[in-house]
Amino acid sequence: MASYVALGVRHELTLQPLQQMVNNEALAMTAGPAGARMMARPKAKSEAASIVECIKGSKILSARMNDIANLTVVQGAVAVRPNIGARRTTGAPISTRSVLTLATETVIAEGLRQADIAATRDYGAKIIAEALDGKVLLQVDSVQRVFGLVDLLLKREVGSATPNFMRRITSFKPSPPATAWSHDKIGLTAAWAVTRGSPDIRVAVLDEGVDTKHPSLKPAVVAERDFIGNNGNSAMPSGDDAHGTACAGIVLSRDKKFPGIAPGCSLIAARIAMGDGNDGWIFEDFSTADAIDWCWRQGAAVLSNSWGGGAPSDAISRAFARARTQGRGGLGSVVCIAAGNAQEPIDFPGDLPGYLTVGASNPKDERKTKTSSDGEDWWGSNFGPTMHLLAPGVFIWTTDISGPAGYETGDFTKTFNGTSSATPAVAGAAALMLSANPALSVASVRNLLQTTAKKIQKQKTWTPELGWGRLDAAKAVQFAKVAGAPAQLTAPKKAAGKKKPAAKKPGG
Amino acid sequence: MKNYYYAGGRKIELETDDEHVAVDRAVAEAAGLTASAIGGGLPDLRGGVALSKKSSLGDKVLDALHGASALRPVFRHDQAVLVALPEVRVEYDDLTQRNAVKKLLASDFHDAAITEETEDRLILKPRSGDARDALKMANEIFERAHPAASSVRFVQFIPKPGVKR
Repeated sequence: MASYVALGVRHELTLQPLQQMVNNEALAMTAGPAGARMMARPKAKSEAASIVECIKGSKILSARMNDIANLTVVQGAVAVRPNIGARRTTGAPISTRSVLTLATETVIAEGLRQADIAATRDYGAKIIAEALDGKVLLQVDSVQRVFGLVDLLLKREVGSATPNFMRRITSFKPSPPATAWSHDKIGLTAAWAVTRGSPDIRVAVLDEGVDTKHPSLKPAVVAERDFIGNNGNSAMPSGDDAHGTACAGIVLSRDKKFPGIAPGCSLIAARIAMGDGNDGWIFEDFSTADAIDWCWRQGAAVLSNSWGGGAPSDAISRAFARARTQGRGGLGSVVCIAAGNAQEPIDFPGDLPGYLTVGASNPKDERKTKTSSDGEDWWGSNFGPTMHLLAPGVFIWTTDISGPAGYETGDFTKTFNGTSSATPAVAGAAALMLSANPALSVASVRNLLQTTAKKIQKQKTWTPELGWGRLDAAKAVQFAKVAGAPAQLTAPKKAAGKKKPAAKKPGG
Repeated sequence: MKNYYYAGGRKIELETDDEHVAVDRAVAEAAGLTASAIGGGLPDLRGGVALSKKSSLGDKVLDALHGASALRPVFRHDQAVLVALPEVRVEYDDLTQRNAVKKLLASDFHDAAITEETEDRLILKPRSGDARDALKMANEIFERAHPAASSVRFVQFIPKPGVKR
């Protein structure tokens, strides 16, 4: 096994021929000191070939290897300099998906004396380049012998000696997590210990239609209607209009692998918009207002609205107000509205005060921004005075239009995102709360979501970007169940409830 | 004078959209203009209106549509393109508001017809069939009778809410 010294610490390395990695198509996972980490793996021969071609095209790079076919990937872990306030970690991988470290047959050395040069010659090395400040580049006849040369020079106490690595750096494209992370993050297992949802609690999804024939949604459907097209009592979407199907799945998919948050609840599907075939949405104020009124009159306890951004409309605002005040026999329907994805001030209807305006968070419990750690640098959660709370909004597992239409060729997707996905998460949590305690008023649901939200990013109180924090379904449902008794009327304290491991910050 | 409407008690300004035209299909077809000539590939909307780029229709077709009164005004507000329809929706919170609206309509709005009425709202259409008249009516009713809401009916075209790269 090869090794070298970095930051004063010796690190064990494994070397794997680039071509072999490609041929095996092996997913290289190492269980080193840093724990299991996804390592670099060229996905296709063309990727390895492109690396080889690139090196061959450079006189300087190609001179670092006698035979480019022997390119070798370096794997292992090196010490990490801890950031201020960060927890100490044991190491970071040398090769990752974004940085591929390739060993060469060369060593960089400084401060060599004549005797050192003679020793390297005896080892079989030759100087192939000299540079500023006494740096020399030594070459041996194989990658494996590089590490022996480094050891030899360090034993002779030269100024420095280190392997000369090449690095292929690519832009990092994030992959979806292997599990439905969002469920763990919001403590769904604990919430489900209270209830998985009651069929008496109806959740309305107002969107571009819902695939109400989807095997995971069909059993939940109790009412559906088209308010924009010609489908009458069907809310089926047209073409690839999959947005509503994804939103509905987050609330109440009954699939075992892709379950919704409140799979025991019932679905009201209202089609209020349709794609224009050109990344646009068509909707109409009056019809949307009528759809809102129809939903709460159909008994919707929760209305999930993953849309917005048009011109404000009193017809829509007033319909929402009726839902909030007259829904559920006067207890009020819970209205959840997406904040929007432009990382700008929240627009209509999310800017209406008094509703549950929802922003997005990521797996590391950060507010989703264009620079947050999830890597989706093309969108960020909107912000403003009506922000109530955040919920998971990246890499969300949910239903897709069944069959080839929609986001994926199958019946599900793992990459739904946006405040569009965060909003039905809150809608689902609210549905569980009302399933646990149907006597809760809409104000109580709002307050409980506020007081149980997990404070993130060192927030002390409400902020326009984070609202009251990130949805904690476990606490919200647990407190909802016992709400109403005099002792439970006070806001839950920070220390209440045991911290779930899933809620811990990654790396902690 | 700039176009506007009311929402939340505030004036919302509307820019005129010169890029698009909105066609009332029924009116156009009644005038003998075929669906293909007026953008047959566009989705049918409630209200029977289709939006088309002005540049995709020739001057001859545009003149014909204009002559047949089949064009509806198109506006912009932020990222939304709005098509106004010749219909006004008025909503009340109480009897006082309702009486004020009814009194105003009876005295000054003979050129409009009530097409639907319930306890808490009514729908009004200008006899001209012109959406610009409807916009003026909606604003005048709000400014003079002070109901809870009074707005022309809009169809909105906005960017899809998804965040695909």
